[in-house]
Amino acid sequence: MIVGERKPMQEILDMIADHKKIFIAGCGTCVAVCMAGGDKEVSILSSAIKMARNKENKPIEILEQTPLRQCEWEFVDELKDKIEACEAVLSMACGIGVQTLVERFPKVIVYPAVNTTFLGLPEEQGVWSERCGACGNCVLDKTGGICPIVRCSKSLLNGPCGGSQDGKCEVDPEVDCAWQLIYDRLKTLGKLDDLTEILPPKDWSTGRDGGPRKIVREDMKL
Amino acid sequence: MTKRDFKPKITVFYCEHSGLLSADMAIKSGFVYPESVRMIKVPCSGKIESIHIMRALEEGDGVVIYACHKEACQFLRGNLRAEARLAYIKNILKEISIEEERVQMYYLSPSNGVKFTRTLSTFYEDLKSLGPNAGRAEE
Amino acid sequence: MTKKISKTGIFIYGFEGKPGKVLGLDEACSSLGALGFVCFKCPSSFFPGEMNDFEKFLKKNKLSKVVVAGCGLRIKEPVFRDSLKKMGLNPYLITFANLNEAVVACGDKSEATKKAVALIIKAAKWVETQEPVEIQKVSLKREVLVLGGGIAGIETALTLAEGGLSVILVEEKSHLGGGAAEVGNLKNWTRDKVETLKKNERIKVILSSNLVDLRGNAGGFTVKIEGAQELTLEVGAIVVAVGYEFVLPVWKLGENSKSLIIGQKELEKRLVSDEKLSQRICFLADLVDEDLKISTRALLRQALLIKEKFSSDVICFCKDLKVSFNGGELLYKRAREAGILFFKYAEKPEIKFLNNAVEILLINEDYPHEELVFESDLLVVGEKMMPGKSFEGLAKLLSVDLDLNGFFQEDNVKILPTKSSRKGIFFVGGCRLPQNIDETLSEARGTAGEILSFLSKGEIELDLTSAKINSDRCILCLTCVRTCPHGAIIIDQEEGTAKVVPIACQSCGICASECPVMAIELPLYTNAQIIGQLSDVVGEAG
Repeated sequence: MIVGERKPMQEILDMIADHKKIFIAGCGTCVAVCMAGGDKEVSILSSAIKMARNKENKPIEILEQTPLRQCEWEFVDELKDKIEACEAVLSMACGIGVQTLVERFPKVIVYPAVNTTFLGLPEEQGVWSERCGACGNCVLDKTGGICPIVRCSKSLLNGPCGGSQDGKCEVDPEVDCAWQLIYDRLKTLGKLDDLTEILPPKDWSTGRDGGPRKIVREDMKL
Repeated sequence: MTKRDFKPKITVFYCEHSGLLSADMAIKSGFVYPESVRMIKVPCSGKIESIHIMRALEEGDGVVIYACHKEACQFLRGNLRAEARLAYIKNILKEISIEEERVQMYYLSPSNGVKFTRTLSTFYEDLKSLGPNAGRAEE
Repeated sequence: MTKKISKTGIFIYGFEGKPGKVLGLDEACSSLGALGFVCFKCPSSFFPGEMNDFEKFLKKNKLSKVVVAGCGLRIKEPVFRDSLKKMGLNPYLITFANLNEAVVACGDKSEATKKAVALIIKAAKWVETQEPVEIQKVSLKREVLVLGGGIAGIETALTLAEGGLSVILVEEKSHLGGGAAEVGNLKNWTRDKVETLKKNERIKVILSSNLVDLRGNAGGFTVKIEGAQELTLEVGAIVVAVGYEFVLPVWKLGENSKSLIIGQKELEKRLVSDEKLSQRICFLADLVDEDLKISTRALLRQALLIKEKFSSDVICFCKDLKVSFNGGELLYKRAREAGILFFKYAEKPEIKFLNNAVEILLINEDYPHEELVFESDLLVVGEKMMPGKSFEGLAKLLSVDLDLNGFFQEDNVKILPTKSSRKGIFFVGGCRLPQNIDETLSEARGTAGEILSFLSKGEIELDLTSAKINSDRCILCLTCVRTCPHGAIIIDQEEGTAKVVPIACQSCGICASECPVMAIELPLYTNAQIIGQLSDVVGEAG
């Protein structure tokens, strides 16, 4: 899922400094699961903003709502009345949600209240970590199911760099060296020979380098 | 309003297994808490949501949580969850420059009327000298 | 006030004597009446009478929701609820306003009355949004699974069987008796216990087997046993009575000095086998575990036995002699009278290994001679009691926690210490805390009693005050499943929803406050109720 994190309060307050009535839109999917922008976070943020503004003697009025997903036209349409009643929208969804609102309501100012951080999983309650880089060309079959693109700090494709120390990464000693993990896993599977295959330079045209990406399924189109 | 006749509005959340019983004892022994204090009982301090604390602050001056002693929670870790949530709230308050001391948590046994009285009175006095919550909504 | 609230009745009761004079109850009634409440001031506070009045009051005014206002009501809450139940009303559409506070604040009668009215309105506001709580009948399995065939497990099984429940006792090893079977003075007694157990028709013993899977909840666990026998059973409760392990502190020993130092357990074996023991014996206690009485008791017993049998010189070094167990003081007295010497140490005595003896150097500033040197043929050391190797896996299987030392963590030491955080799972004996045999036995019996009162009827009426998940809002984020301390929330894979298992839920509300989309409500403490009280704070005060 998409993992995000609320922006620092000051940054958010600066964005909305000139507004007297705003609408906070949460999202009930990924950011709700990673506790960054679901119903509860929306109401906490709303409460915090109100207090901060009361303190400056510039009270603010806030409407709140959390659609099922902020990245669907049908769901954001439900927010229409509230959005139109306000000067600006503060979106607690990921960057996709923010842009969905922008495209649907071209005349409305939409601010992001959440930093969209990565694609990952909850390792345990309260801890999330990155697992996928959305490169558009999966190599997990060749690397023991462990992604070197995002889990290796340098996205190396053919073994670790010289900074791999005791299974940890030189960039951050808290982080496991992805190539150590790949080696260990292939060893467990008895497939260490796979490592002798040299992976050619990655074709990044399916990734960010190829420009904005789009998928069209003709069979699904109406 | 001068500082002298400022009566801080305080919301007390107390756990039924400790705070409530201690409060009962305090009241029976003659403790009269200030009129601007309101008590809300919860089955466990773990039931107190962040938003409850925020709302209480939005419309008041301070919040106190009375929880069972650590390792003595009726529900294993409710008080620890409350503590963690409180730390989260305090961080937000710090970010919006509202005094963290406006939110306080105390651990109590079920029969500590004295501690209840003492902590609540001290908190009340502390808030009095701290002054009104600047983040509070105007009435 | 809204129309809704007018359906709420106020029953003021128990104000004879001082409280009645302090508060202007008639004034209170009339000001509440003006707000649309139906008020009744109960004249008497005797039990049978007041219930009649209470029931009459409800019937006459056709009330469905009621606030009972009075002093010291907590113990009477169930009586009021029962009364509602008897009348066919929902026993949860009631709140209690504790007017103690108003009575104490009695500086001025009208002030106190105002306060009382405010408290009653607050309570009325709470009950106003209260939904009726349903009651569900749940059938319970009348079988109990006991894990561990040591004395704790045996005693629990016997007591349960005596109470009429069937017991399945699963032991990892190939024999029963556990640690107690290796202790000299308990050997025969344990053997007799095992024999009684085997003869009992209600108890089925499965040896050399383990629990490998657990599903379901209290009253209806499905367990899978594997090992010598493979079977799947349904049980109503599970008792964990597995054993712990003894580990000798690590010493750097030469080959020839290994025979000079042994643990208490090894000594016990030698005593049981009637082996001749050396002339000078020293005990070193409290080295690894200062808090446990169990090694002190063993030490006193063993020292006395050696003294009596071989008239050896016996010296004991202890940090603190813990005699707070049954007969402990007497045992210590007998040991002293028999000529056993006790020395207290603060710093660990220095130990040197000579050719055929151990030299112990004791430094204690409290003694006239600060340094004392002893020579001994054998040094007996108290072992550390360590969690069994199976503990971790078992805890995971049962979804319960281990404590910091790796033993099973009880739910609340002060209430029923053998209760786990999950309903229907209990920890008895050394798996929770190594302890003396009599303590283990009373724990076993107490736990069996608890289980008997839970399962005996084979059915239970549950008031569904447990948390409720609104599956329309739920996004299956698993937060509640992970944070529930009682393992009471499951994901129904078929329906694709999260569900609270009412029998396992203890209504703490932790899940409700963790849920990121506010999909969980605790019926007696809803969000609306709590927030409602908040606005009350602001509306009235200041």
